[in-house]
Amino acid sequence: MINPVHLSDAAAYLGAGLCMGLGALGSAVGEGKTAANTAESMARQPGASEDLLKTMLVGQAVAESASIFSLVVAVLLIFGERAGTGVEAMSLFTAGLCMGTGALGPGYGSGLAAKAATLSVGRNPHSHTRVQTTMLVGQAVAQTPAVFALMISFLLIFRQSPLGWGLETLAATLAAGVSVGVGAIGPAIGSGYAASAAVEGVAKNPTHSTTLIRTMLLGQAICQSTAIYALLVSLILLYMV
Amino acid sequence: MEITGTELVRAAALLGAGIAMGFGAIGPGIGEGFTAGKACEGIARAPEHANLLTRTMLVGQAVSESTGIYALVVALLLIFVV
Repeated sequence: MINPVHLSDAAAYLGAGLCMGLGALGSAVGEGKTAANTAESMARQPGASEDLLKTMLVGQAVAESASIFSLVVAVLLIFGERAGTGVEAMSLFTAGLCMGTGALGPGYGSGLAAKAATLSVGRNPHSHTRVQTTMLVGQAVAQTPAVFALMISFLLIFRQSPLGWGLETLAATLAAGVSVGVGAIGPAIGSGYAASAAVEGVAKNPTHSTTLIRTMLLGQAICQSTAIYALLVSLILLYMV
Repeated sequence: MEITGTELVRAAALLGAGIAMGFGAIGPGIGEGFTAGKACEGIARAPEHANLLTRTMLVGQAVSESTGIYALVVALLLIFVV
């Protein structure tokens, strides 16, 4: 018979690995594309290299935040206290899975916006302030699904485990993490795509930046609705089942 | 520990609810974002048609959203009805 504390330990370590492994993927690809585009733009417009570098770093910093959330959750999973009661093992594993999958989309989506911004500054260096503002607004919306995933992960990690454990509670716990984690991928990539198109539009047509930002936010709000459904289902599974 | 049939069915339904909503959210999210992006591209090219483009974007996104709402409905059915 396995000691329940050991089972919790094993689940937490497995979850931490998944969390950081998956969580690093999206941000890394997005930031790499940003850097590649910055190099291309610099070759085309060496005079704007200062602005390009600044845009790249700001954009990458925001894209990185999703994987920083993953790192925080992974560290909490590795060094946390374990009681070995109830569904603790499943809660800890699910917390890692949730944050890992939840960081994939936001990292990549924010990276798309940053990539478009560096391309746009290269094309139209005079518009760099407006481009950066649009990029940051768009990226902020693209990051929200990662915040939902972080919230559910924390709720799972610091959960008062019910004493008894049944198949039902185990399934509800796993389902809560899958719902919000996997559900974060689409809305974040979609919002990132919308942000990248808006950023390119602002560089092409700076006089209409207000209309573009408004349309981008409207479109992103609709994109985010499915992430909010996923959060709702996840909270219902955690607290109402 | 003895697992009864009812427990197994209930557990499967709850897991199914999570999977339905999680994977069901991917498609509408990406699709609607793509629509919003194309609308932004269109507005950058033809700002005078911004209203028409926004309207078309919203109609397209509403249709795209429907599958996300189906996923939500199925998830809620699995949690509360089954």
